[in-house]
Amino acid sequence: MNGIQARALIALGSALVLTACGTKTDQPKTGAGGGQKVTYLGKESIPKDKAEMVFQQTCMACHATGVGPVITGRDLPPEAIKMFVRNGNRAMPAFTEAMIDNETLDRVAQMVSTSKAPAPQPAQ
Amino acid sequence: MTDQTQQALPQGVSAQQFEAALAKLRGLLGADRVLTSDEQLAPYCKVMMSAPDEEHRPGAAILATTVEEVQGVLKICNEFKTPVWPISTGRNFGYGSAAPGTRGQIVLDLKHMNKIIEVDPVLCTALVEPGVTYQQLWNYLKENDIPLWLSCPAPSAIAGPVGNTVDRGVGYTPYGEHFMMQCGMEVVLATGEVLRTGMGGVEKSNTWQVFKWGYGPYLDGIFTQSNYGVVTKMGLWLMPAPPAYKPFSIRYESTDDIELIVETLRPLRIAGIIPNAFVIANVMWEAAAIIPRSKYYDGDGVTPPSVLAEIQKKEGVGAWNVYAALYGTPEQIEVNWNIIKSAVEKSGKGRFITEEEAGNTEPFKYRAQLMRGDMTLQEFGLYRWRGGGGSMWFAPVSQAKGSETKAQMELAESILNEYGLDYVGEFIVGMRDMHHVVDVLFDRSNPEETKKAHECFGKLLAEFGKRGYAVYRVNTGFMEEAANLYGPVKREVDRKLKRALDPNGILAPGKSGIFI
Repeated sequence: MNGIQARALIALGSALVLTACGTKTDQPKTGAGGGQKVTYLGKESIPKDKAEMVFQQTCMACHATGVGPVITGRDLPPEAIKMFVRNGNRAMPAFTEAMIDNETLDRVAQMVSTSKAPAPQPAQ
Repeated sequence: MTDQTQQALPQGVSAQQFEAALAKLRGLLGADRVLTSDEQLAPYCKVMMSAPDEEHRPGAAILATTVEEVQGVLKICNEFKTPVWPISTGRNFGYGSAAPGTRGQIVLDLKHMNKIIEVDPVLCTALVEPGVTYQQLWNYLKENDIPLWLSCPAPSAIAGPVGNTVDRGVGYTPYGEHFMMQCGMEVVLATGEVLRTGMGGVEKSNTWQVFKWGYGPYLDGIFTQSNYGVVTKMGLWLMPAPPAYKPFSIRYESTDDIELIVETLRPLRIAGIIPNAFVIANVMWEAAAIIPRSKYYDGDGVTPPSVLAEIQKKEGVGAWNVYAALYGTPEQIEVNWNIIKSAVEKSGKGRFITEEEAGNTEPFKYRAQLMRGDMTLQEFGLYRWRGGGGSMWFAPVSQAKGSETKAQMELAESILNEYGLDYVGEFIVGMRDMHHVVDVLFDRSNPEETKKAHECFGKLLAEFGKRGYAVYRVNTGFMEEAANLYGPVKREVDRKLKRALDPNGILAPGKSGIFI
């Protein structure tokens, strides 16, 4: 790990304190085939774009469900995001190049970095 | 050459020998598919178990994309006596993840072998390569409007059917015993020969994915939890989407209820009234899916019983929480539902929670998803219970008898508590057995706690072993200890097979305690 990466990791680490503890979500149900409309994590279809698919089906599977901390809408630096993806962090698994290639990861990091904050959830 | 490859060499392999092997592998695969830098290897080094990272650091990782390349890799590894550790998706969290069993082995990463070769919607079968994830298969079924359901373990989306099945993992649907639902394999042997099991060796056969046994000795089993070959294709059976589905929970308020729960529900499972691999999860497992422990307890050590009682009350979870489901026509479900209701009512304890009552709340929601093979990572919430990223699955097999369940639970809890760790446990109810799955959670960033967790895990294996209980699967830091529980004759037969099939011992040495 070089110095810049280490600093980015530290900066993001302090930002990503696990705060989520919601117990309810308001997401559409997944379909079961047989002609039902398929929805997944708020999307009405399975993403065709590789980066969008990684974002929706991998990142958001934890970071939009209360399992991992919220990462959208926080201006997180792309370099730090990539560091977390490649190295993992405590409970977060690491992802190899074979799983998410470098080009796709660049785009995913940009998407997360420039994403809007999630809509506030109604009080439970 | 990199510093990394100098640092992590397999036992008995010189730096020159290792570099020569890598040079040939680059020639076969291309330099971009032979990974040796610290940065490239970092994701393969991330483990959750208590064993030190250095003991499981790979010497390199290589990416093969075809059967021919796998054959070529094994030829080179035989030539240079360099061991390889095959992984499919490398998501064996809490069992060693993607890291090799011993230091310096080359990870043979098959993630790019990710073709869904065939899905037969009529016979409800699939044939897939090792890099296929459950998410990928799920997407394929949805995109093609094929009404078949998967059965997957909790890290569903990012794990895959080949890796999970060959490590004999389980899921939560009626097809939850995954190896039972596997049908036909293609295996590259260390010699480079390609074996197709079952009906797969018959020329022009179209029954490879429909008849498991073939003729003569049944071989598929020896390629699970072993190091006798590299599985490059696997058939599996998929469940037809039922016309109706009814997930439900039964909540019990006392820890002592475990005996009654098992005695009440076992006959229903054996008779097929409850068709799926249902679970019985304790309060902490249930709570961990929705909250970190720090919401109620900021101290060190074991979560006090008073805190657990508070969590039960305020979060609305039971001391034990059963999750099961019914599948079929509405009429079939109605009949079975009434039988189950009647049995539970007669037992005098247990409160039913249906999907209608639970609505979209967790953890009911993710349990309902798992029992229909949908994608969810909600159970990763377990890892934030104490935080720190340490997790090892201690998974002794238990008879499906209440008395046994109680004995195992009490033994596990007392040993864990002795080391300041929580009993976060669940029973997954099989056909006659139960997988008693305990997540040994610890703060891996704390060396003292990691050391305690390591000692604790060793003691769990030893003390359970003394009483005739052994794990069905274990992390790569404890394979020797687990193998010893199964006796010297078993170990010797394992070794004889290894010597016959892989005379140079290049395939995953140490897997399940098997060396040449």
